Amino acid sequence: MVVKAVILTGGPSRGTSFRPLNLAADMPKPLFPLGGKPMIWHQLHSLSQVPHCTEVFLIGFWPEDTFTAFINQANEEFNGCFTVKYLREWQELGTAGGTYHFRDLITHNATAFFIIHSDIACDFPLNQLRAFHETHQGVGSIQATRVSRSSAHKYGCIVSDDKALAIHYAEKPDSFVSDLVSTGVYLFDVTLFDEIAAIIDCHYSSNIPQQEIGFDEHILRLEQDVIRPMADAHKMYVFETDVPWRPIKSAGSALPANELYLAQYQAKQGILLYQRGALDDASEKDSETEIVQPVTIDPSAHIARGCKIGPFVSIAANVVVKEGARVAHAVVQENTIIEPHCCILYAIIGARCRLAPWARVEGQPFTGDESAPTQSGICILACDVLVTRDVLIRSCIVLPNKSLSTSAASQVLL
Amino acid sequence: MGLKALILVGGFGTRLRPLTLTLPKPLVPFCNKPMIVHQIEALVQAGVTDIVLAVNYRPEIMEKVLKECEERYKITIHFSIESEPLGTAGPLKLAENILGKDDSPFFVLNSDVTCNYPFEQLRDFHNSHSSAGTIMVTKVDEPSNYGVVVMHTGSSQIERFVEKPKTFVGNRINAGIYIFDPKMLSRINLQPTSIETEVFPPMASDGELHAFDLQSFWADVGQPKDYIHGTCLYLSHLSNYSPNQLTQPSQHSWVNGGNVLVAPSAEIDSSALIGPNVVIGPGVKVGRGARLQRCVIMDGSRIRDHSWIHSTIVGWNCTIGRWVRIENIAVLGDDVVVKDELHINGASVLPHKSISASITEPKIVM
Repeated sequence: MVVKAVILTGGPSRGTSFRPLNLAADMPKPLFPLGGKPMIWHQLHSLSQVPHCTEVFLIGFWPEDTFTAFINQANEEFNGCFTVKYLREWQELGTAGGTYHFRDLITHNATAFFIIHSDIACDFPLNQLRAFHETHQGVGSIQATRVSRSSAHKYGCIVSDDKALAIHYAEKPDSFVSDLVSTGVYLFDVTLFDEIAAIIDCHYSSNIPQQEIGFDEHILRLEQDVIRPMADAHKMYVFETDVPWRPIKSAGSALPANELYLAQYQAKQGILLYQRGALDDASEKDSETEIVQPVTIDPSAHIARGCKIGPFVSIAANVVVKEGARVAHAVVQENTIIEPHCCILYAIIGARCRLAPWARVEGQPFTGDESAPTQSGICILACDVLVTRDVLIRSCIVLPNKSLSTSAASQVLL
Repeated sequence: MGLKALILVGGFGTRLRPLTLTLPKPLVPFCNKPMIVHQIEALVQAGVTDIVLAVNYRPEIMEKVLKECEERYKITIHFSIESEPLGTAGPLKLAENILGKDDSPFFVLNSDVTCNYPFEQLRDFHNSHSSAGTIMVTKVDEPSNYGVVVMHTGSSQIERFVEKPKTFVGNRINAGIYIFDPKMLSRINLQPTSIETEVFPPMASDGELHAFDLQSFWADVGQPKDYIHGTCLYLSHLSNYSPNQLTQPSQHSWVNGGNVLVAPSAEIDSSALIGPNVVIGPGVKVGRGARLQRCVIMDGSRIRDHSWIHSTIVGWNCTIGRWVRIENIAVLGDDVVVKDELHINGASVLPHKSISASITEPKIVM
C-alpha cells in the first residue's frame, strides 16, 4: 500500500505569533532550526521511517524559491525513501483547500496520505498511526494526545467513544469540551477528497449565512470545515498517544520544541548530537570546554576554551563563542558572536547578533505545561541585535536591529 | 597633655545588617580596616590619648581589637556602657569623669561618619574662638533631607538650626563631628537627650557654637547604599592624596579604571577585570574573567570564574559560583554560597545561606 504525505507550511501572513523570530525575510517559520535542523526536517525524517511512502508535498503560499534549497538537500538526504516537492497555492486556499487543490498529485497511485502541520514538534509515531488506521473503516485517523484541562481550550478538542470513534470535534472551544486534543497529525484515505467535494457542494448550495459557519469563498480549513463535520458524521477515528509533543505557536515555544528534539536525539540518535572533536576549528581545545549533553553544534561554529555549553543547546553555523562564555537551554542562530564571559540561559538568540563581554541574556525556565508558553519568560533576541558590555537582558523580546546599551527586564523592546 | 574623645557607637547597627549580625558595626571593615580604627588613628594623629566608646552593649570581640589599638597607639580606650539608650547627648554626661577631667577640649564623633577626619584643623579652629563648641559642617547638594546649620552673616558663629528645610536656607549640614570645652557638659542631664535638637539650639542662642567647614568628602556609611557610596568617596580621596595606598594599574593588568584597593594576600586571576571603585579584602580569591565594579569583597571570599558583581557588598568567606551576576545594592552576609549562573538583584542575604535559585527582585533572604 503506497502512502504519501502533505506537510502544511502556511505562508508569510501566517505564524505571526512566532514573531520576532520570523521577521527576517530569510527565516520562514517552517525552516526555523530545531535540534540543528529545519523545523519540517523532523517531519521528513519521521516519514522516511514509513515503508512505501513515495512522495511528500509541502503545501503553502510562500514564494516559489522559499524551500528550494531545503528541498534540494532533502531530496538528496532522503533519496530512496521519497521525493519532496513544493506545491504553491497562488492564493491562500486554507489548510484543506490547498490540499484539495492538489488532490490529483496526492491521490496518484496512493491509497492513503498523511497530513502533518509544520508547526509541531513531535516524536511522530507515524507507523503506529498507520497500523491504527488499518484497523478501522473510517476515512481518517487523528493522532491525539491528552493535555491539562486548563490548556485544552487552546487546541482542537475531540470527544471519542470507547471504540476510538470520534463523535465530536470543537476547534479552540471557549468552554471545556475534552482534554483529548488533535496533535495536527492525520492519516486519511484518498476518499477524503470525496468528503471535501461534498462539503464544498453543501456549502455552495446551502442558505446558511457564511459568517455563522466560518466558511469563506476561497478558504477551506482542515479542522473547522472538514474534520468537524466528518466527526459529526462518524467518519474519523482517534489514535491516542502520549509520545512527546509540543505545538510551536509563540516564539518562546521554539525552546521547548528544541529541547524535545535534543532529548529525542539523546534517546535514539546520539550521532546527531555534538561529538568531541567534531568542530572544523583546528584550534579547538575540547579538553578545556565543558559540554553538557544534549547539545548540537554546527561543525563550522567556533567554541573557545573555558566555555561551558549545555544542556539543551543548539548552536548554528558560523557562530563564534569566545572564551569563558556560558550557554544553556538556548538556541543560537547563524553568524552570531558571543564574546568572552557572556552568559545565555533560557534564550533564543537570532542570527548575526553580537553579545559584548559580560553581557547576560537570561529567561526563565518554562513550566511543564504543554501549552504554547506565550507568556513564558523565555528571552528572545531577533536577528542583528547588539547587546553591549555588562548589560543584562532578562525575559525580554527584542526586535531586529536593536542596539541595547542598558539593562532591561520583562518587556518587548521594539 | 593628651586630648580626649568620645565616639558614639550606640546599638547593634541594625541598618547595616546582615553584616552586623557577624561583627559589631565599629569592627565592620571599611576599605579593609575596621570603621572605628580609621577614627582612632585620626584621633591619635591629632594628639588624643583617651577615647571613650559610648556603647549600649559590650561584645567581647570589640575588647580584643581595641586592646590591640591601645597597645599600638599607647592610648586608653574606655567603654562607657549605657544601661538604657541615652540618645546622642546623654553618653557625654555619662563619661563626664573622663571628658571633664581637665580643661582641655574633647572631640565627639558619630561612628557612622567617614571623611578625612581633619581633627587637628578642627582643634586649631576651636582654639581660635572663645565659644564652648565647634560643629563640623559639610556642604550637600540636597539640604532638604538634613538638618541645616545657619550661620550669622559673615561669621562662623551659628545662628540657628533648621530641620529638613522646605525652602533653601543654606547647604551646610551637621557632619556629626564636634569639639567641645568641658564646661558644656553642665548643659546635659544624665537622661536620654538629643544633642542635635535639645542641646545645640540653646547653645547657638547663647552664641556658644561655631561651624567649621569640612573641605573633604563626607559620608554617613550606616547603611549598605551609603556604605558603598562612602567607599567610592574614600577611594577617590586616596587616589587624589595618597595614590600609593591604592593598587597600581601599572603593576596589575586586571586593574580597570582605578580606585581599586586590594589586600596584598588576595589572589586575582590575570584575566579578571577589577574596578573602578572596588575593595578586596585579605585572602580573597578572584577567578578567571570575573568582572568587579563598585563593590566590596570581604576577607576570605571566593569569586569564581566569569562572575559579574556591581554595587554589592560581599561579606566574609562567601563563595560566588561561576557566571553569577550580583548587582543593585545586594549585601551577602558571612559564609553565603551562591551557586553557578544565578542572578542576584538587590537581595540582602543573611549569614550561612546557600542560594540555589535566582533572586530577580530585591528582597531579604532569611
